[in-house]
Amino acid sequence: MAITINVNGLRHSAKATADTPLLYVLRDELKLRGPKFGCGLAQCGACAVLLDGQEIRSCVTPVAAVMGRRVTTLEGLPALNAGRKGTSAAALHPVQQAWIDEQVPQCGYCQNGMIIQAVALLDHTPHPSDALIKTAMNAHLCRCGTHNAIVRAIKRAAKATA
Amino acid sequence: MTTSLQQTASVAVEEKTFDRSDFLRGGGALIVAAGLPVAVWPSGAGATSETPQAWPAEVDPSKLDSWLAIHADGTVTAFTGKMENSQGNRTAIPQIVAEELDVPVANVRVLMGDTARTVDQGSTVGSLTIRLAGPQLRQAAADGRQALLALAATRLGVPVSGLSVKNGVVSALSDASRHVSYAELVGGRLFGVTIPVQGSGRGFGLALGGAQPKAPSEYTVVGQSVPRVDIPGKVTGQYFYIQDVRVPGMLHGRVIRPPGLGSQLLSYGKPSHGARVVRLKNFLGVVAESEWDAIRAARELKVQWSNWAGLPTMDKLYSYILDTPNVQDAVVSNVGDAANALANAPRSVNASYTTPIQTHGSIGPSCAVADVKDGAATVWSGTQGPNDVRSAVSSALGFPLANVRIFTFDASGNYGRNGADMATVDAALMSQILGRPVRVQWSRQDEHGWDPKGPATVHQLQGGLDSHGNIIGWQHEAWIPAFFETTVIGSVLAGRTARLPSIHLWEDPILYNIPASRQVAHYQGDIGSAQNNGVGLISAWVRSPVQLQATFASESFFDELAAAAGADPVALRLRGLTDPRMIAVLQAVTKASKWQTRPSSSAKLRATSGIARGRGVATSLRGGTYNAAVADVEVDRKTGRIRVNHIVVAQDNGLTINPRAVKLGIEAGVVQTVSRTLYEQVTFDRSNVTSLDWHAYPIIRFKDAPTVEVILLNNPGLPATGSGEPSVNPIAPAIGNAVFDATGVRVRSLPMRPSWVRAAFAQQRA
Repeated sequence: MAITINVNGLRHSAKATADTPLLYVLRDELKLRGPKFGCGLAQCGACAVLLDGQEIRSCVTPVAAVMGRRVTTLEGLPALNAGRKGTSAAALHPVQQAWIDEQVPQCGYCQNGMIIQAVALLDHTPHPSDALIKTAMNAHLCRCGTHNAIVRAIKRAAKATA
Repeated sequence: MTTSLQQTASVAVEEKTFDRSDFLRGGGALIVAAGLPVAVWPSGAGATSETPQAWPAEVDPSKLDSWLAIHADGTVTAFTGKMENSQGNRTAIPQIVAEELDVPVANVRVLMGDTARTVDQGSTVGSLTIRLAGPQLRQAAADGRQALLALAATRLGVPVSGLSVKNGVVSALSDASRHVSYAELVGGRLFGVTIPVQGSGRGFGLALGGAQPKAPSEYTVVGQSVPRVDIPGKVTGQYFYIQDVRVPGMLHGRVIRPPGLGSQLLSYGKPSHGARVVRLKNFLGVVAESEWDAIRAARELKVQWSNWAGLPTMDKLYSYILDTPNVQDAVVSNVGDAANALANAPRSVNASYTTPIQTHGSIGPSCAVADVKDGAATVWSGTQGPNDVRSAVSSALGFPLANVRIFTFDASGNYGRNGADMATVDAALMSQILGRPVRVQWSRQDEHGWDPKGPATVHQLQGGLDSHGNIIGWQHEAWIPAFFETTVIGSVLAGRTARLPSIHLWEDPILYNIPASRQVAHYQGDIGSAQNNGVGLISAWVRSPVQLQATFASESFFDELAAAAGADPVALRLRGLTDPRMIAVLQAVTKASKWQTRPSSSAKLRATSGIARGRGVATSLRGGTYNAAVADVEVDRKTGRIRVNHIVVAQDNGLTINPRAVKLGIEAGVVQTVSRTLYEQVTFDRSNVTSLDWHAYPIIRFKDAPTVEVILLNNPGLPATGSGEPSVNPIAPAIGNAVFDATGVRVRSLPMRPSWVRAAFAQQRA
């Protein structure tokens, strides 16, 4: 029986087996490029998506486990924000905009997980301190060393949504 | 080769969004701008209706069309053999080209790394892109402007001296109503112009001639902080990475590597999940229609390998290096009679420094797609050196070079030669064996285990002081077990050994005016290679190879001499420096950090319990780029934990193309180097690497990342030098010097882990 999942507001009937990690359904079936394969071990965070608003690691989450729940990927953030704020779906999520304004990425490969985690953080805590930002982001790895730029971008996004 | 590649698969990613075949038709008369948003424009292209016979063995640098295309809509494509590699080349190169052509920078795009379309400008390594390829592209653009002006002069009936250009429109100075656009002159057509060239791009020695480029004083685009064109796509999920490439009919492949470097494949069982086994001698993998099936089948396949245990034990690594015969000894520099000066110095200091094996640690494991059929290979790679990997694929497949075409896509930050080239050869081998397109995605364990490693090094230093505390003699010997080539593991396993150039040259100068000094390098084969037919712990470049290690040793040792002389570390450096640019960067960091002049380490200021605080300084010169750094650290005397709070770093790289991008790149590189200084060390047993994930090979996290202040000294009148590597060099010694300042303990080994620091405290108390 096909597993039906809800990704970025759209229903998708997955061809994959129930134990297939969500990441491969997102990338290989839905052709989404936001979530990245990084480790397959939930160690780095490159694969992160929102599941009912919480950050999860899609590389270790079986697709069957997200049935009946809302998955939001990097690609779905503008629409998520538009749905909440009544803004245009064409506009970027304020966190994405802050990432551009602060020119955060170097290679950019980890930034999917960083942005997803930042969105989850700001939804929960609209005005986090630097210390809280670092605690919230600590389980995401960046090889290039963009940590300071990320902290600046999260503070900028917090201001923008104030 | 028998038939054509006319049915060569198109890259399935976003086929509907744009038509790559139009974009790619560069070999013919027409090049059509695809009109893509720059942010989603991939490095290379994918679909081609060209046959392999149309792939040139080499792209001719003397043709202007090899460098530039003016499209019918007036937009411009610049072609380069260089890659993005994380640090902004995709933005800086259009700035350089737009500046010379007098077109809006937003109208210039860059196509990177397609071996049939872009000139070989050498691999994207060594912070050489802006430094060496920048002038090549600048000259090509200047020549393009000259060619366009000549066409305009004919069209308008006005001599070139009577013309001006603005935004890609040529106008008569005497009558502004007489004008013609670049698009009208050559849009969609070839220039057909030959330009003077000398030297070879492969050897980083290509020089173009022709028109006189602009003077830096005229620049309006170069030197501006143009927002990076790759960033919008990177924050929205629209950017193409090599991991996103999909080809119709493609199988998902996974490699299965031996447990020991020299293990032989004895037998294997039946694959699970409908997968197929791919095997050539010791080269083993599985392929499946679905990625998850390939992953599970690779994990579950029962394989028997022979034992191999030819590596030294890890605790003997450094003595093993000192005991191993050198392949080559080189005198790096020699001034005066260092041996005599040291023998007769009133005071002398000796010390040994060691640095561990380190890995690239790319967040995205390497990936490649290959379609090998009819005697030709079309390969999509995340390489930093498309022409290098083209040679490796050609050797591994037994194909002539001309029958291999490499398209490149951006990859996860590599910071040297990570697994990208190896995965590329893996994909090519699997596709050749199966006759179908194959995508090989390395696992985390593959990348941590089998990406070539930055070699461990050993340094022995001797310094002599006169009675006034002046340094009168200096000797630095370095042992570097990495020698000129990187072995491609898949090709070795398949019995078709291919190697890539990977010269680990120690070439950083002694910065100080010392009357007698000598630097000697001892190069060796890879660790364990003598025990396994030349294939040991495979080495390759990791960011600032050799110099990061050598500068850690030399700039730490300089501080040892300062301490022995009772001198302030900045003051003693300033006494020995003669180059005004180096003096300027050192003064910039001492000013910004409010450096307090005093000798290190002051026993009065040292905490004997709790948290000790200190600061350290270091300088470096790499490839013409000057750097200095001051680090502020805290050391927990109980746990031995070092915390780097803040680093001030200054850089003079001559002309800066994009100051904001450079400063952000330096900031990131400094944080990465703090990680390499404090945490990173590849572990191994007698058989192979054992640090196979992020727990076993930790890197820096948010809570430990220091803040960084970057000072960029503006020097637009001097040629642009590199930026990615140079600023990492003073970081480790600045931290080590700060630890000494705080505690009186000298750290002579990387990484500076708490256990080592605790042991040093115990020794200090004893």
